[in-house]
Amino acid sequence: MGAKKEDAQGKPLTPVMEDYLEAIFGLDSDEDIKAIRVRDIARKLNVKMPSVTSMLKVLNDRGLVNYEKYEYLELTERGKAVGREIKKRHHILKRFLTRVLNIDVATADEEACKMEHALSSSTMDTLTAFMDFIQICPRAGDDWVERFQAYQRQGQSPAGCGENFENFMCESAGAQDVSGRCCMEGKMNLSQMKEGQKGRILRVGGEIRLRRRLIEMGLTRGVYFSIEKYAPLKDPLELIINGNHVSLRVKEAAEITVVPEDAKGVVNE
Amino acid sequence: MNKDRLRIALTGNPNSGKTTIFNQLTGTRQKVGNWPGVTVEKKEGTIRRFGYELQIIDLPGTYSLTPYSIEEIVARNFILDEKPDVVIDIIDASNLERSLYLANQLRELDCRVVFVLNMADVARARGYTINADKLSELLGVPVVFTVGNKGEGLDEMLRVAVSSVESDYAIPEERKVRYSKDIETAIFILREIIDSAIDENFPFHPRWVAVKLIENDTIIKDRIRQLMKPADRDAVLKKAEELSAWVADRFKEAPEIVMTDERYGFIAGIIREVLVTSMQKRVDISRNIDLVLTNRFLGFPIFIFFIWAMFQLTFSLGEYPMEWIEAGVGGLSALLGNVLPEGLFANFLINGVIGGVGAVIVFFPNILILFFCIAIFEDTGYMARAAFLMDRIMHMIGLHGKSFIPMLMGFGCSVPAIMAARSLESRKDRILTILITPFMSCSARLPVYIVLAGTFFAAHAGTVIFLLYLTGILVAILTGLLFRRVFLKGEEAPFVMELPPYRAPMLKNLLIHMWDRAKLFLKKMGGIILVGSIVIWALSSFPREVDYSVDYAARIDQTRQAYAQRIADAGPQEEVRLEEEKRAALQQMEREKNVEQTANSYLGQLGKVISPVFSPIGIDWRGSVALLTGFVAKEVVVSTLGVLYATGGDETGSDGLRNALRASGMTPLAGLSMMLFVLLYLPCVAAVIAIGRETGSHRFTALSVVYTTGVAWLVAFAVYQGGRLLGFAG
Repeated sequence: MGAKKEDAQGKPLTPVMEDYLEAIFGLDSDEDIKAIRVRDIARKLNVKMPSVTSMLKVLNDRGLVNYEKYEYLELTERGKAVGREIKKRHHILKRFLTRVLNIDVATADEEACKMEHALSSSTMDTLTAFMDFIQICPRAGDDWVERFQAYQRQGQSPAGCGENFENFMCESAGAQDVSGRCCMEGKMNLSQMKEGQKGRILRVGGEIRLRRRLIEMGLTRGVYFSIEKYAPLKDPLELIINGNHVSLRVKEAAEITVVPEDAKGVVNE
Repeated sequence: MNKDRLRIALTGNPNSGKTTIFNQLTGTRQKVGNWPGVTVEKKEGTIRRFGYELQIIDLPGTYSLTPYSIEEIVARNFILDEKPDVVIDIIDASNLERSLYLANQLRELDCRVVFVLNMADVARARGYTINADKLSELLGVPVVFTVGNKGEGLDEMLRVAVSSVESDYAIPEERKVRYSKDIETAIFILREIIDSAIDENFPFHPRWVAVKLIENDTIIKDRIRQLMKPADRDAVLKKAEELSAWVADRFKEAPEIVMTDERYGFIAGIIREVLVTSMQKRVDISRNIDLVLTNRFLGFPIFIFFIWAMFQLTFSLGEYPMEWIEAGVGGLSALLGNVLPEGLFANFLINGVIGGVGAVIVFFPNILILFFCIAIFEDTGYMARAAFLMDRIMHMIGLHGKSFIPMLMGFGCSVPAIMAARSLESRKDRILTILITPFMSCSARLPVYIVLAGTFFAAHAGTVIFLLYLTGILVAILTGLLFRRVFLKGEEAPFVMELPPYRAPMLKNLLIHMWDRAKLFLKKMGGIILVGSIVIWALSSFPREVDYSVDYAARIDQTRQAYAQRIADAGPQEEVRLEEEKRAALQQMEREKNVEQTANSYLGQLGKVISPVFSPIGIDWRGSVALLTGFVAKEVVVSTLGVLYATGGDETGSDGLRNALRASGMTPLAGLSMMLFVLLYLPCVAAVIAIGRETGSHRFTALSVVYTTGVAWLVAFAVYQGGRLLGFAG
């Protein structure tokens, strides 16, 4: 990955050049605009038309646009790549500023504009991955940031989220073997837990309709629960999840994998 | 909008207080019926507000709108097909996270929604602060606070609902649930294909359809098959399958699970923004109550006590109005008997109509009380605990914890019991419960036992009756095991059930719930019993003129004259005694005439035709006739026996019938056989009709009739013939 933020000769680009390329790229991808005119660029960047013309000459010389005065204008392949990259950065930064930091849209737009030139490609890549991550694994545990690191380590396939979670649960429960690998000895079936014991849901298994119903009733991955009691005849059992009391049969509970709060004790045995 | 009639649908999780709000809004102006084709209760009511006629429809309480249970399908289909003007989603404010799951599905469905945060007072007391403005902004839906049981905020709720229809507001696209990148890509691809295949008349939102197809929703797939042109629908369904498989592969998980998870992710995000929980250490009253009511040692004794109290109340308290009604019915018959000229019409009215309706009306107070108790159990939240306690036992015979309640009610009357089976989610569980409920010995069978056991097992009558009840339970259990093995095989419904917090019931709600069911009972069953008893009356009264073996008219005249002569001859003291004697003699003759008339009536002839079937179980033609009439209502068996044995009175305690039975040569063994038959054989007309309605299947209804009667005959046969072999007097 990494931005190709240099011209055909390998000379670095200035932030202003990048802004121009971004603007032209934006106009280029707009289907309503058939030909890109100097006037459009000037309006978009809020500069005077002569400045645009002189900049276009520079960009033309550096092989980023094809431009003849009073003729049509187009981006070269390299120019397009830079424009696209800057636009993407702008988008991601803006998203980060608005969604994560809760900054208002106008400010975010303005500041993303400044940041997009300053950050290195690798920082940008990390930020991109982070934005993907919070979308894919929206409910992480307490050590959310640590999980993000694991997410990066393990590659960015969304399927990694589940494993990640298991690892996270395992780590937080302290159930690792000597090599640091997660052995998850602390995990058990819900049906093995005792009255009054607390824990977190790792995975809900079983027949698909039942699984769906259980998840709908709040038995989502990572949620805290406690065993309120077993019925007098030891079946069914009663859980408290998010303040709701839910009952299910022992047979159904046997399909639910959990990590008890005191899992460490189990591992140390 | 220039409509003056708006349709408002209420949705919400079970226990969200939706029914209370519905009752508050519509009061007694509600109609209760069934959703077409299924036995899910449909309630609606119409009120006038803001210059509109508001038709309010109470949709079944659900956790979700996936096609998991009948209730969910009903609710979703209503919104999809009937397109109510606005849907009001009742949310339990102290249970925001889970409630938002359903709420979000409504938003995805693209219907006009108003969210109602109900029981706001409870939530506040529990330390939850909800930022309603933020919630409204994030979800793009109006949000209103209410306290349903106090009626607070309901006007505001309706006003917002109406104005959201007037403003024609639609949820902005960007406010809806966003899934992760891969799923959004799949939705995008599928949506493009769907968009190109539909026109503006397509009834559903294309994005929603795409989501459902990726989730493998079979009902929506069927809809697409009906709605789209063959070429389009093949393309759409094929792509949907591909994408669904792709998502499954990407996430190593079924798409519907992934998406359910992600919806919860979305909700968790919202919760973080709008909900502030101040963790107050508070006393959870509901939990404390449960420490006692579902306690390991106390749970069952308390449960048994509640059940005992319910029956005690039903039958002891019900006895008073029962007596009044009996007296009233008796008085009416007597009055009509005096006013109307003796003849066929008077006979029809008194014995056919009043006798028949009276037989049902008499049980009505019991049924009201029983339903009232059941309503208390349901409204307080104890019903769920009863299921929790009983599930282990019920599960052993292949049933669900909730099956216990219908079976229990079966001891009172099978009809409401069969109707109570509605609370079971799975169709198989429901049918099985309905099929075994008639084996629970209903109260109408008790008079039969009292007469027969009293006659033949005088000292041990109580024990015998108790054993009969046990036999019924045993047969029910064996039937449950058998049916589960043979034809109701397969997945049992999982026992995933919420144990809602205990709540103080509202009298208004209790009365409405009681009356809804009682009304259904009166309407459907009263009519059938009336028709049934008229038929039985007609069969036993015709032909009017039979060939009597003796000329009764002549004999009566002779007796009259003989007594007239003797009275004239006797002194004044003798006269009183002779008058008495004369009346007795005349009555005896009248009865003998009646016996002969009944014996020769169509019913009597029928009884004689089928008596060979009953003779192996020790029942003669009179017993056969009585059992036939028992189809109308089981207690009729006793009154028919009364008529056939010519004892005059049909009261259960009358010694006349007992003496006559003993004198007829019927043995204790035959009496036991007959009681067993009455216990087990086909349920009464009303119950059969109820079975038909609730199972929605002629096959299961027929099965019930044939199976119960077959079992009754076999058991009676085994006992009677076995007893004879063992040397008991046969």
